[in-house]
Amino acid sequence: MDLRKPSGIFFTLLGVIVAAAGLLNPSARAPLTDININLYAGVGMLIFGGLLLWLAHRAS
Amino acid sequence: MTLFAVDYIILVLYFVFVLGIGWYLKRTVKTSEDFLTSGRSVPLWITSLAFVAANLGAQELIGMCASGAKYGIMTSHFYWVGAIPAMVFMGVFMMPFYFGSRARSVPEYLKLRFDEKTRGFNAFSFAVMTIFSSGISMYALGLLLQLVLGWSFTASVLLSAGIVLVYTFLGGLTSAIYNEVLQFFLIVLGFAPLAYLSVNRAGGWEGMKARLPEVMTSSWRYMGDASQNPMGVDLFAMVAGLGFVLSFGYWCTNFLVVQRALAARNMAEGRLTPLVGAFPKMLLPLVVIMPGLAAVALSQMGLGYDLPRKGDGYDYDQVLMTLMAKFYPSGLLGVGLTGLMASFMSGMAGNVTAFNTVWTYDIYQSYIKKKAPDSHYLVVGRITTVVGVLLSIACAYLATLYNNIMDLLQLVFGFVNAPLFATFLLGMFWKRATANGAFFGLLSGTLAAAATHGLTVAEGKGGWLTTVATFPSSMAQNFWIAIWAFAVCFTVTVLLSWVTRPRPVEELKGLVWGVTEIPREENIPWYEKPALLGVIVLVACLVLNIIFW
Repeated sequence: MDLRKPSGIFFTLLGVIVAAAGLLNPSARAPLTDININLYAGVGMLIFGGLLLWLAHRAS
Repeated sequence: MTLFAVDYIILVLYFVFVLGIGWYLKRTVKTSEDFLTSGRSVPLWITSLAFVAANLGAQELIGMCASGAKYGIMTSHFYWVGAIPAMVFMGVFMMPFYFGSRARSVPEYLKLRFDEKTRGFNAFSFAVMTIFSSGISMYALGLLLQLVLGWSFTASVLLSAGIVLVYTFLGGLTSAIYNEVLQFFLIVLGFAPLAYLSVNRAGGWEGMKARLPEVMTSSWRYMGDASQNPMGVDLFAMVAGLGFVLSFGYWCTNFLVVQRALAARNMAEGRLTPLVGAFPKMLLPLVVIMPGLAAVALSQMGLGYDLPRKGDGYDYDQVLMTLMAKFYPSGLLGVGLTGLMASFMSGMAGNVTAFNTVWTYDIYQSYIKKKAPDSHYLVVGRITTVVGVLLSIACAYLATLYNNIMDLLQLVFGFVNAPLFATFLLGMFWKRATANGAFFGLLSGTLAAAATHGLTVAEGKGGWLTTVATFPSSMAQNFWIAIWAFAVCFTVTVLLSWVTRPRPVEELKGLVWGVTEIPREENIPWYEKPALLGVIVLVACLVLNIIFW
């Protein structure tokens, strides 16, 4: 098993969920944050997941 | 702290993936070696991340953040003085003998190099220690989830242990290792935003330096005298106790981590495992310790954040969770919480798989049933997984009787690991070291550890024999226990080896320096040369020490 595949899928899904939380509820803030951290972190995870999938794809 | 549907969805998604990986890897398990040692088949990038992740348990994550808040950036010594040099030593100098001996476990190496009694002693003490560690880890997690989320201690302990049980039962060591990599990514992605947000809010490193007492933002400047720094540890105890004895003992002889390197495909990749792992390991303090320091700075800024309290003092073990509550909205909060679960599981799976192998090969196969078909040992390995998890759960309830997790863990490591490194050092680099020398050295080293604890007092602990010395902190006491254990084991082993008959040199092939073939390095690229990579790691580590001087 190429571990990059399942972890790529996992972080892509995770990124979609977290970014969606940021998009659907853009005003959600924890007491001490003033940026839409869900959106940024979600996009970050999406990129990481995509990168893993791309690496797995390139290897196969 | 309140969770919403999205947080639970993330948690469930994670559970589905770890169980799925275990289910998928079920088909790779055909023999007992597949189950217990991965059949030496795991690629380098996976072994090196698993090497780091197996150590990154929940108590590490919670404890490092707690120490960051309590002691400041000095906590980084656990990484930049402790772990990193030891990992370099392991990769460059020790892996050739672990691989050369073809041992399946650390106790088995001791059997091959010395004899049965040293192996037995190490196997039993290690088995007890792994169960203890995973129990403490489970306890930390259960308690935290109970305090912060109001989850039932029993429910969270049983659920998380149950999931670890299922995926290690299905796919064995391979499943544990593959999941550790997924868990490692999740821990970093789940906590890096917290480190960024909290440090940023506290005014960055410069802002934190302005707000915190200087002793908390200097890693070395106050090390000269134990009374000057909050850890209550002097330079010698720090460098010799933590940096040398405890860390080398842990990273070079603890089967929990050594097992990850032994799962590599060949000796070259086995040697590179700790060296490659050292790079992410080196950067972890920025993610796990920094939020603790930021928390202290934030508590002085009038932002409505206070350090969690318990009675008259602070409850540092809760710092991580209270920060998450202040910085993570629902969504990312689910990721952070899942990251915490993941860290717990990677630590626990590490312990369970190491316990498995040691029990099956070093205790069961050696003392209970010597000659049986391999399928028998596969079944024993599987049953041991279940028993190991059950014993860990029992230990979790036992651990409710103690409170300071890190200190307790260090104490256990002091008793078991500290003398062991002397045994390995002499075993691997001194042909003259004999079996009786090693065994009685190890025994007296362990007794010396216990005696040191019995003769000294720190924070009201120890001194159950009589009090001959008092330490300013438990940490200092633990470091000195390790130093004494190591010194006694080393001395006794050397003295006894001189008066006992050595093994013929031909028998030591592959086990000792000088009679083991080290792979030639002429035709491999520079980035695959262990010694060169080791130097790069050490220089980078030195730079980090200087930056936070």
